[in-house]
Formats: sequence, structure tokens, C-alpha cells
Amino acid sequence: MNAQIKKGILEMCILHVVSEKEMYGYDIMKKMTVYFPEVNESTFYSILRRLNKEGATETFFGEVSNGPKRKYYRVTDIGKKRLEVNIKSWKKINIIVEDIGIK
Amino acid sequence: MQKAVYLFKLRLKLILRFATKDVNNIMYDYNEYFEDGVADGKSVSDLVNSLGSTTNVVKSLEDERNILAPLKLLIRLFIGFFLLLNTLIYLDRVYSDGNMITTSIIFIFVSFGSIWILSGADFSKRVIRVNDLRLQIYKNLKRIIFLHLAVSAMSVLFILLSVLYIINYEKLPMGVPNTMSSFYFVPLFRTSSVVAFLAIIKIIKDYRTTNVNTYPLIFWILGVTYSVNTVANKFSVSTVGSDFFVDLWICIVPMLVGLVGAICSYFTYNMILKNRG
Repeated sequence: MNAQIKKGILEMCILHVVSEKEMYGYDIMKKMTVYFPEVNESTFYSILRRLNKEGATETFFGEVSNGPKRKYYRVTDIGKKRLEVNIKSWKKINIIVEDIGIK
Repeated sequence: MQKAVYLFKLRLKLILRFATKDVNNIMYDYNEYFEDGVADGKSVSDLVNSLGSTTNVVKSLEDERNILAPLKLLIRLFIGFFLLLNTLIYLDRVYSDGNMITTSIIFIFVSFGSIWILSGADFSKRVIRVNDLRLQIYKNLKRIIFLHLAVSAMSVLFILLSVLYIINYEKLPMGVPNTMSSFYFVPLFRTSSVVAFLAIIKIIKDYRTTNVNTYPLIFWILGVTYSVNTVANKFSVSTVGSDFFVDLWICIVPMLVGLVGAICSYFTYNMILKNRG
């Protein structure tokens, strides 16, 4: 599939996962590799960093029972809006593709 | 070992292409990937293979890249060294005028500024978090003080050797322009040794810890310590080789003043951060 499209979909999925629960990088990556096993791990981190830079997510250091503090990701208001917009576009595209006749 | 080499190669490639802030963020993520992967039961070679070569990793990060970053690095290095070098030359010229106070004050700002520039310190508010930093300050202060003392002890040795040389050969060691200037090289030697020490330790530590924001703090403290040291040197006795104990005293005073300087910098830095909140 086209690289740009894939990145957009991955971004939407990652945002959704983070919006459901605050997680740290490795956990997010582990969850994503279950659904996208062929995607390189670097890509997920790269998307996370971009989302953070653009303000869709924010990081905070949280307590863990054993070891140093971890960097957690959580979704911001900007991120929630962006996710909404992405999901709407995705649903629209799905309908269009079906209407064209692709099953 | 394999992990350390991989991360070092990656960081080296990143530093030349990305801004320091981005490099730190990226390195954090890859460090976490290795640590969590190992905790998850994967082997280091598996993790390295899954990432691919460092060249490919850097290529995949192309869209995060800032084209101007290497240029900024070069400019920063140039300005930093330019300032340091000119300060030394300026001091050497002006010393004979006897205008010690102005010279010292100028030197404090310039030396601090050049070290700050060289370190590429990043004081953006988003990056520094007060609670984490306070913990880091405590951890690093002990290290900084210890290193300062260790390197000061080395410079005591350095001066003693120079003194012996002078007594023996009745002239200065090669490369030292005149008797008075040798005392400018002492703080430079001391500080650059501490900087080198800390840089090496930091590079080794970076691949094992999660906090990569100690650079600004370390160099801030160093800058002030260095400046305070130099002031102390200027006000001490300035004849070389006349008396063993006088020369020893000349070395110990800057050392103590530098220590006081480091502690003062720590409290001041802490206060500034507290007010920033």
C-alpha cells in the first residue's frame, strides 16, 4: 500500500490507542506490531514523536513500581479533535470506495 | 556491548544531521526500545536486527530532519571557540594595564557565554521539568564537585611540575608566553579537563539512563565555576617558583573558590527554576 496512506492510517490507530489509555512508548509499539507486524518498530516511534511535536499528544513522567520513571504519552484536546477528523475522513473514504464498486 | 556500539553509532550519525533536542528525543526512544525489549525477554542481537543498520534507521527518520541543523552546529562550534580564544588573547594583552576588575568581569561573561554556546544548551521550558531536575541536580552535584577536586589536584601537580622545570632550567616550559599568563592556562586546563571528563561520562551514561537534560545544568555550573576560579586566580600572588608553599596556596585558593562557586551556582539555578515553576 502507498506509504503516505499507510502512515496516515498508522497515525490514526496510534492516536486511538493512546486516547483509550495512557501508555508508554514500548507498550504502544507492542500493541501496534500485533496489528501491523510488517511495519518497522522505528516507524511507530517516529509517528509518536511527530504527534508529540505537533501537540496531538503530550508526555509526562509517571511512576513505575520498579525502576526509573517512564515517559508516558496521553492525548491532548488537539489530538482528540484530530482523531475525530481522521476517523470521519476514514469512514467517508470507506463509503466512497464501496460505492465505486470495490468490494 | 553490542547495544552500546549500536547506540553510539546511531547517535553519532544523528548529531551531524539533527538538532540536539531532536537527537535527545530520538535517542531516548531507541534506548527505551532496547531496555524494554531486553526486559521483555528478547536478545540484543534480535533487537538490533529488527531495527536494521544505523544508516537505514537514520534514512527512515529523514522527515524529522531539520536541514539547518549541521550548519547550526558548525556555527555554534565556531563562535564558541572564537570567543574562548579571543578572551585569552585579550586577557594577555590587558593584564599589563593592571585593570583587573574590569578584565575579570568581562572574562566571567565571555567564558560563561562561550561554554554555554559550545554545549548547545537547551533551556526551552517544555524540556525542563523541575521535580526531575532537582533529583538530577543532587546526583550530579556530588559528581561535579568530586571531578572538580580531582582535576584541581591534577592542576596542582601540573603547576608543581612547571615550577620544578623553571627552577631547574631557569626558563618557562615551551608554549607558555610569559610568567603571568601561565596562570590563565590553569583555569583553562582545569575546566577543559572537567568538561572532557563529564562529556565522556555523559556519553557512557546516556545509553543507560532516561534523563538526557543534564547538559544545560552541567555546563551552567561549569561556566560559573570556571569564571569564579579565574577571578580567584587574578587576586592571588603571582610569582612563580619563589616559594613552594606560596605556589601551593595559589592552587588551593582557586580550588576552594571554585567549589564555593559550584555550590552557589547550584542554589541559584534551583531558585531560578523554582520561580519559573
